[in-house]
Amino acid sequence: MSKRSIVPFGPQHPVLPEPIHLDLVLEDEKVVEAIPSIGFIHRGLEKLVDKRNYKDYLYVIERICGICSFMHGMGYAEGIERIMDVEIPDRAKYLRTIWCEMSRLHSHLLWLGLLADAFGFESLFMHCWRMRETILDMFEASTGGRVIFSVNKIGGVLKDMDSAMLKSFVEMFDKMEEEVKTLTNVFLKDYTVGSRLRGVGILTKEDAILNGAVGPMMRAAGIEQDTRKLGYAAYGDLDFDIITGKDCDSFARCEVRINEIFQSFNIIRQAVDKIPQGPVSVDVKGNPNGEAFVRLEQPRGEAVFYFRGDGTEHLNRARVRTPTFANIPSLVKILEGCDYADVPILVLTIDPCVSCTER
Amino acid sequence: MAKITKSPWLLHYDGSSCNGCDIEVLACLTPVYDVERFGIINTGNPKHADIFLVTGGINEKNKAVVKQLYDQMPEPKVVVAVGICACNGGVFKDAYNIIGGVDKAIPVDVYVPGCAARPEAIIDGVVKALGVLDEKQKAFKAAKKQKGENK
Amino acid sequence: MNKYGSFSGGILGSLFKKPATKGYPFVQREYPERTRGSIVIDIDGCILCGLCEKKCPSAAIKVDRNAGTWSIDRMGCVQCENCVVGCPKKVLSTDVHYTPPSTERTVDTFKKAGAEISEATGGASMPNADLDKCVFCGLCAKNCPQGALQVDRASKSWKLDETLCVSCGLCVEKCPKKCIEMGADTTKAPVTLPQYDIDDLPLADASACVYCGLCASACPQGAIEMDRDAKTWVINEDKCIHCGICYYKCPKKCIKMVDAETATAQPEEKKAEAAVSLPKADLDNCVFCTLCAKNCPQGALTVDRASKTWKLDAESCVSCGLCVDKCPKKCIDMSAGSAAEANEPEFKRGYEVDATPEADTDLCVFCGICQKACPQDAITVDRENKTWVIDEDKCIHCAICAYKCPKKCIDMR
Repeated sequence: MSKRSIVPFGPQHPVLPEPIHLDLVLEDEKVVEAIPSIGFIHRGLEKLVDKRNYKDYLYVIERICGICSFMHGMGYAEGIERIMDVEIPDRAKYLRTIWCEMSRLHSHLLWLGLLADAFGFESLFMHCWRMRETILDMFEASTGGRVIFSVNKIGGVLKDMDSAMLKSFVEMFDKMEEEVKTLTNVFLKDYTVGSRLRGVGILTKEDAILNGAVGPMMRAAGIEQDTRKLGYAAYGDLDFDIITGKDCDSFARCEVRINEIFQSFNIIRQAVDKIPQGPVSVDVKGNPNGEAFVRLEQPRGEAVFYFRGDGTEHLNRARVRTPTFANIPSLVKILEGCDYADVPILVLTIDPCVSCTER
Repeated sequence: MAKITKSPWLLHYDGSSCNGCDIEVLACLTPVYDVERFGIINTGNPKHADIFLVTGGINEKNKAVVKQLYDQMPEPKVVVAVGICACNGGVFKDAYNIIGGVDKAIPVDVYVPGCAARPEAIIDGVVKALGVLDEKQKAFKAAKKQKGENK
Repeated sequence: MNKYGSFSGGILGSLFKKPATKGYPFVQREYPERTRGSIVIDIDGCILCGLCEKKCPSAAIKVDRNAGTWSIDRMGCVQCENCVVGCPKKVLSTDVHYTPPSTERTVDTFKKAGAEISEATGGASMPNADLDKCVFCGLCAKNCPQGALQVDRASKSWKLDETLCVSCGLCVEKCPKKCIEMGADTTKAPVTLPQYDIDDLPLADASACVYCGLCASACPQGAIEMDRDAKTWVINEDKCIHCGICYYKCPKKCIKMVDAETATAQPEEKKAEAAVSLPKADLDNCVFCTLCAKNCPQGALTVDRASKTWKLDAESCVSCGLCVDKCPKKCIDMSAGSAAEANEPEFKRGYEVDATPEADTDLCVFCGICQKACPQDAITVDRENKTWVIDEDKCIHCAICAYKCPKKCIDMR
């Protein structure tokens, strides 16, 4: 007869830079149940709409998360632009697309590094993060920030990238793509990696639908859905396919994210080719009155924004459903029945962003 | 840098930051900034650590966690508040769930500004913390010696 | 497929590459020009409008208008550049270097040099448009960073929302007609009450008071008791509602709002020496324009153009001196001691009373000085079409135009 015990995981845990707490119910070495408890980094920033006017709130909302900061800012700007019926210049749409894809690149590389670290492949971790620094340098050159960019504005973007800068970026991406290829080959082909990831943490298509999984988590289960296909920003003009996996396990998720890295390189190249000349922002006067939903594909999955304004300079309500929040039920599902030693990897495969979840 | 005579180990905890500063702390450990050159290691165990890096402000739920981690660290110890949220609550200062900077829960020795704090600033902050650590160590030794003489 | 050692190629390759490590802190980092490190201010150009303080999402900037300081909490600044973008004077910028870590929270305070500047901007001076010159182009409203101005061409209205205005002065700068000024225009804006505490009482300066009694008649409460003959001025503390109406009704501006203690402690001084003086016109220069009579608060003056008489009713005159101030010819002074002296007829003048000015258009340079000087706006000068027109109905024959003309080309005929 096996013995039941409860082992706490977190909030401070070496594998995660962020605090999340799980109570793991173990039967010998098998996890029977995982009970998540969140709220360690809850700040209550949605309520700050009462204290900051709608233009300044942009700087608050982009600090929901330091990894997809750009996309949170962009989601907010798109929402307010929709409420106020502002048509932003085409160049701004393309610039937003380019920065979005750069965010996705650096987020996926960061995740690959953390994953490598979780299964003890430290040199791989270092290489991933070294590569990521190149993208951060590009961010710094184009927006002025490494992590928080503050480059969005209601009605467009604040900074432009001239053609020389875009050209140098594309050259850097071409060079990087080769390096990333050798690196990701290790993830895809190495025996050690495969042995840790294959067949671990299976989330079937049915379970993914049932638990409302989003992003790579859902696509790895074979569901073909990508919010970018809705055509926000300049995605409507660009050509890309939805990447899906079929094995539904941790390896499939890793594979999907790696393929998305190359897809992002491709999208950036297309966007740089097609980017029109012109202004990057329009002036916005007045206050938002009305409500809007915005759906964005963040590196971790689909984020849903909801904003409501009542004609004053303070919004009535702001709400963000972040991808990690939607993926937690799936995490609980895949933790059931796994080995205790696999818990860190499984927590990582959903690419958790706790700051997003708890806001 | 001449101050580094020992290998200080770091303990990192994310208070309630946006994780921008957390990834910058991690970036310090990766090849481009590589603080392991100086024998600095990021440890997950508070009992091993000399320097406590806290990012993000303090809220009701994590106040106890931060306090507990701090109490578990052996003397002498230094606390570095990384990023402006850890310094005074930053952009979330007015949010209902934020009490304030890290100094609302535990004594802070070094403040590192920035949103997010740059890796260079974090390295500078750690170097500054080492100076504080040295002084604390001397005071600690003197107190111990005095205790021994009194016996 | 090399299942094993798929990473060995990469590892071997790395042996021959330059290290990725940047070597900080031994090698200083070079930042791209857009890097947001810390906010710097050119304090000399700053007008302490406080827009940056309002825009700062993390409330790190404090602007103190009275002390003339601008301070930033370095440990609270998120480097979002919202202040830099929003600064109307563009005195804020971003430096690529970050604020160094410190054991204390760093707050940098910059003091604006020159106390008089801080005083000039320190008061709540708001822009005011001269609507006579304004063309309602709306440039000021477009440039207002606060959206405090509303200009409507159709209805010719220019409105300022004083709750939004931060007195930055951008509207003054942007106005193509230069018709906006900072500071309330007393002729058009409602009279601004003096700064005083709500419990302050009015007190007349006995050395300047002419005992005209205008304050007493204006007081809604009948709280001022004034005796011309005894030369006393007393405020009834119990009746006074501290409205300050007496303050701005006083033609001599001798009433001040002071705290109750000062008002009651000072015994009302008697102005024993100074005899009540009455106005007297120098009829040599008087053109019988009647402006003095029109402005007399007491209706004590009778001026008749036809019979060329200037008469003072000494009974009703309160010696306020307004007639002296208003006379365009400056021919009235407060010198007469008695009514007889004041009304003593004398008559000399270089031109006939009914003479109207006429410009010699050959000499005239159409400078417009006469137009500006005319108290009745009777002259219209058009530089472009080189015309000079006098409206005889408006003209009061004061000949100021002739005196002011720099070319001496105006004749009274």
